[in-house]
Amino acid sequence: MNAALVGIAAAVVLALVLGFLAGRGKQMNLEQWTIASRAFGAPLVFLLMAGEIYTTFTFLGGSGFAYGKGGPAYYILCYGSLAYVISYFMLPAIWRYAHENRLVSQPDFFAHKYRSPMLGIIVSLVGIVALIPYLVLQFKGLGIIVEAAGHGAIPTTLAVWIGATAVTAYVIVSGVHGSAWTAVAKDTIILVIVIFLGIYLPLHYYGGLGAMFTAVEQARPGFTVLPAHGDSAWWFSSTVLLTALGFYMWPHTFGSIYTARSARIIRQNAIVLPLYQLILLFVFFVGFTAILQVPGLSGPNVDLALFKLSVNTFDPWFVGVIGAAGVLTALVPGSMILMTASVLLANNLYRAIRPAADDAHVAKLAKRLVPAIAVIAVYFTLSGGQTIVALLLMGYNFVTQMFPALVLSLARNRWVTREGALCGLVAGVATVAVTSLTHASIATLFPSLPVAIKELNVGVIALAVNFLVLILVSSGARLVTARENGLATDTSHA
Amino acid sequence: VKSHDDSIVRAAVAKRASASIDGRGDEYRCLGGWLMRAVRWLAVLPFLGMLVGPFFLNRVSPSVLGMPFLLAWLVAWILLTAAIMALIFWLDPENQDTAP
Repeated sequence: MNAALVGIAAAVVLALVLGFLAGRGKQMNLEQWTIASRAFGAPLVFLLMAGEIYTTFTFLGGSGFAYGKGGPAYYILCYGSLAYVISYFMLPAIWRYAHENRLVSQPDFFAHKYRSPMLGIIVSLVGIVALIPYLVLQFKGLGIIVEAAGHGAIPTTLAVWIGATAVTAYVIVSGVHGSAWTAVAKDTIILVIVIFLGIYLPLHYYGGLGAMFTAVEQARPGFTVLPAHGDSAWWFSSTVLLTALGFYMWPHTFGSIYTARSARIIRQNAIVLPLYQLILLFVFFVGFTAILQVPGLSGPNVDLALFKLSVNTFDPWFVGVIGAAGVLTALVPGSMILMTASVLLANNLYRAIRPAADDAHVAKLAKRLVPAIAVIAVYFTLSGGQTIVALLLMGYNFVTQMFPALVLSLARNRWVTREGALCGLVAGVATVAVTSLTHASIATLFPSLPVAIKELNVGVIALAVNFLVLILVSSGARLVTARENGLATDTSHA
Repeated sequence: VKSHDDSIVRAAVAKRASASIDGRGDEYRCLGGWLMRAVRWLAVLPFLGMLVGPFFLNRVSPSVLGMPFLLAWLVAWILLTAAIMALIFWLDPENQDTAP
């Protein structure tokens, strides 16, 4: 076992101990285990929200995307900032409603707002479907780190299993308290490491940032901006907008809104979090440096860029430190995702079928589901061949479909009916599922459209279908209700 | 009876919101209220900068602090976004009702 692997193992043990200590001595009912009784102040909510953003996706996926695609990677820098702008106006209303009605999960919100348990069930299903690729990409990242740090001594399959076991153990011992405290450790380490790598690597290989970009521009002209075709400005803008809308639609991110002590804390975070995005800049610098230093990675292997470059540059002990930081970026969000998925299954699906189940029973079931979900994600990790960013974009296309029904439910004069919300969501998700499975793009679906429209993110179509169905069905339902009310004064059906 | 509870909740929220503004006195209802409404529109700017800007500024040079121009433009907008949100937060009467 080399020094790098020792460092990584130490990080896992440290995270488990922190998680265990944070969870010890607290009575863990369902609310306590998942949202810590809404008692977190600004710094912890900040870290929880930030902690979910800085995942393997940013660390390995962000550098890999810059390495493989160049300029289009900048979308990752933008969508978070726009999402925080939206959050300032949207989240306080969600928090207030959740607080007043003592809601625990995202489907609770939809079911409660629209008075439709069915909508709650569908939202939980969409959430679970979207969380799986998100969990898969964390496991994938763990696999990459362990394999690369061990110079192949540990095969990928075993590495993924080790990672999945660590995440599972971590969730079971700690719940949300573990996530918050390890997030403190993780964010500090990742901040230092990423900034260091982003400054040092261009300096070491090229003598500076400007020289590095000049070299890349010379070798591959136009690579560091958006291409004229393909992932063009149209793709960029539509993707930034879609992912910004979907940002808070992730079940676990939605859940982190509930943990805030007041709406003011949420607004306050909207100022600081955009700045936090800037750490991605350094991740890109690493990816761009790797282009000419570790050439030849393609397909899903682009995600190895940061690690390959680190292994070539540093002593094993320091690779261990980087690996430890990488492991934490997968462990913290991974545990959050895993916990959310299990609570969704137990609290929102199981309980919908068996309403008589009490809290203790549901909490116990949620904990038992954790390893089961982990095994499913491991299966997909080992069988899939997509890049980290492709996985996340797929998940995003699913969760973004919840946005229309959510934002329209907050309007004072609610015009959308439960039927409209339900049908719109189902239509949008079905469109995403079909386009993901057939790998369709707007260009393949409608070859005769102008190039600009063909280059839009295919999620735009799903969102348009969703919105159209939502409007049509809502108007239809309103007409029917109006007629029924006209025919009979009996309103008990509501 | 449709969405009866919902309307109660909404009424309570609306009451609380207006109470917090009223509690600040007239200056908030007139000048401060107007200012806040106007300032909130600044939140549109980051969207223009990041979603529309790349169509016109998708270029490598001039490089800024060593970065390609497009990247520098986006970074500048992140900084501006934080500044705009700070301004909105600072002027929003909703954020002052919890002060001692």
